[in-house]
Amino acid sequence: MPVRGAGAGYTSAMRGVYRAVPLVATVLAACYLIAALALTALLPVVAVAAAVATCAVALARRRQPGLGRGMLAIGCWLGFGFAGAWLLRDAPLGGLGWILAALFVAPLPIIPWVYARTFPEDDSHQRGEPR
Amino acid sequence: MIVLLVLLAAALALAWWGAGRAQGEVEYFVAGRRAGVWLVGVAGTAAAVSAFTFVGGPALFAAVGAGSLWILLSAPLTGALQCWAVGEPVAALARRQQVLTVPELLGVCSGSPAVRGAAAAVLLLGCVATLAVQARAAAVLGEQLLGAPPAAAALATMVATAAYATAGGMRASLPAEAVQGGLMAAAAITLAIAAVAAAGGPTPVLATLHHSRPDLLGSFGTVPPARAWAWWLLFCLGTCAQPHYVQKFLFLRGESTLRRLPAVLTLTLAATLTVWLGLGLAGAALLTDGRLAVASPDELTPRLLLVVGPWAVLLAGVAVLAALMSTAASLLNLAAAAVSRDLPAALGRRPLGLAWARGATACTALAATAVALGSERAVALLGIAGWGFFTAAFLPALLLALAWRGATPAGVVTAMVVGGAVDLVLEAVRTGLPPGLEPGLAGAAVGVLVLVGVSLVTGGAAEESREVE
Repeated sequence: MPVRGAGAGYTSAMRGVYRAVPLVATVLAACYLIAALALTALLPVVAVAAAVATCAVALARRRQPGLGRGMLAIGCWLGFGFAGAWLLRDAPLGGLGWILAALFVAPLPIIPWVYARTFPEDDSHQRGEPR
Repeated sequence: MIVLLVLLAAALALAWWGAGRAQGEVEYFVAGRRAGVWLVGVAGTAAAVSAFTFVGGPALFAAVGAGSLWILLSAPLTGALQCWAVGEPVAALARRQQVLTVPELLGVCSGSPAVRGAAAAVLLLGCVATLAVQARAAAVLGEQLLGAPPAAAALATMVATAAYATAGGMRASLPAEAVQGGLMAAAAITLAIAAVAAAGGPTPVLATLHHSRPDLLGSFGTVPPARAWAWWLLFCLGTCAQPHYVQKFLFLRGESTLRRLPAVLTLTLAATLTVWLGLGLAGAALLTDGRLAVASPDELTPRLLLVVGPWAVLLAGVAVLAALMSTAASLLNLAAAAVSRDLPAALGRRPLGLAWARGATACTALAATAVALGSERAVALLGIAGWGFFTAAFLPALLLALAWRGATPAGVVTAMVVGGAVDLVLEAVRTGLPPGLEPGLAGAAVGVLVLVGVSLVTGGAAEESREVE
C-alpha cells in the first residue's frame, strides 16, 4: 500500500494545493527548459517561482498561520534581490555588495526564524503522514 | 605525512568505538534515530560541504569574480526549503514506517519494490562517482597542502573514512561528521580572515580589484547572468535531492526537532562558506597585482595559503580532509545500505545483514578510489557534476513522490532513469550548452515532465481523483 506525504485531515484549500502540485511542477519544468534554451530573460522569474513553489509544497500538508505569507515574503525578497543584482551588474563593488548584503547576509537570520515561527505547535503538520 | 598518520590512528580508534555500538541496522544506518538538532545540523552541513568549497570555490572566484558566489547565494534559504519540501514528510515517514534508507523511503511512498531497486541502483552509481570526486580531491590537495604523494593521500583518506564507516556505520560517522563540521566552520572563518589580512586587508584588496579587475566585482562578475541564475537554482533546489542530505532527516529523534534545524544548518553553512569569499577575494587581488602566480586554478588555495603562513596550510589541509571525510562517510553508508538492504528488497529477498553492509562499505571505498586515481577532470567541474546528477535523478522523484498521490511507480522509475541520463549526456557536451542550461537542472526538468506524463498515462491521476473525491 503506497503511502504519501499527503493524506487524511485535509481542508479544501490544502486539497487545492495538493492537486496543483503536478500542474505547477510541469509548468515550471517546461518554463525552465524554454527559458534556458531560448528566453534567458525569463530565467530569474523561473528561478524565483521554482524556489517558492518548492517551499510551498508544505502547504499541501499543513496550513499554519503565516506560512503562506512567509513564502510570499520569500518570493518578494528573491525578486527584489535578483532585480537589484541585474541593475547593478556593471557596478564594481556595488554589485558585489548588493548580492552579499541583500541575497546572503540580510536573510540569514530571517528565513530560519520564519520557518520556526510557522512550525506547528500541535500535530497539524502530521496530517499528511502515512496512513 | 604526520597528519595522515594521525588521521589514520584517530579513524581506527573511532572504528573500534563504533564497532561496539553499531550492533543493529537502526544503529548502523540511522545512528539509532535519536540525534538532536545540533548533531544533525552540524553533521548535515559537514556532509554537504566538500573540498570544492575550500579549493574550487576560491579558484572560481579568482577566475570569474562575484558570479561564482551565485553557487552559494541560496544558502540562507536552503535550510528552510529542505525542511518544508522534504524534511517534514521524511521525518514523519521515518517515524511511522521505520524507514532506514532513502531508496526505502521512495519505495514506501510508491508502494513498489521496483522504485526502491531503481533508486538504489541510481544512488549507488552517484555515490561511487561522488566518492571518486572526494578521493580525487584528497590526492590533489594532499600533495598540495600536506606534501604527501597523491596516491598515498587518496588512499589514506579513503582508508581512514572506510575504517570507521565500515565498523561503526552512522553510529560512528555522525558524531565524527559533527566534529568535522565544527572544525571546518572554525577553520573557514580563520582562513578567510587571515587570507584577506595577508593580502593587505579588505580595503586594499577591494581597491586593487576595483582598479585592475572591476569586471570581477559586478553582480555577476564575468559569468553570463543566465548561468549565474542557473547555478543559484541548481544549488537551491538540489539540496532537496542530495541523498546524503535527505538521509539526515532519518536520524532525528522527533519531528519537533525540525523547528530549529534550519537555523543550525544556515548558521554552520554560512560560517563555512566565508572561506570561499575570503580566499577568493585575497587570491584574486594577489593574482592581479602579480604577488601570486598559478599554473592551474586548483593551485590557487595552496599557493595563497603559503603566503599566509605554514600554519594556514596545515589548518586548510585538516579542514579539507574533514570536508572530504564527512561527505565520504555518508555516501559510503548510503552505498552500503543500497547493496545490503535496498537491492535485495527490490528482488524480494531479506536484508543481507551487517556483515554484507560492512563489506559493501569497504568495496565501495576501494572502487571510488580506483576511479579517482584514473580521473583527470578538475575538482571544480567534478563537484558540479556530482551534485547535478543527484539533482537530475532524485529531485522529481523525491518532491513529487512525497507530495502527489498520482505519481505511479512507472513514472517515478522512468523519471529517475531519464533525468539521470539527461544529466550525464549534457555533462558530456557541457561546453557547447547555452549558459542557462545546467545539466542537472535540465535532467530534473525532463524528469518532472516524464514523471507526470508517465503517471497520467499509467493511471495515477485516475486513482488520485477517486481518492480525493
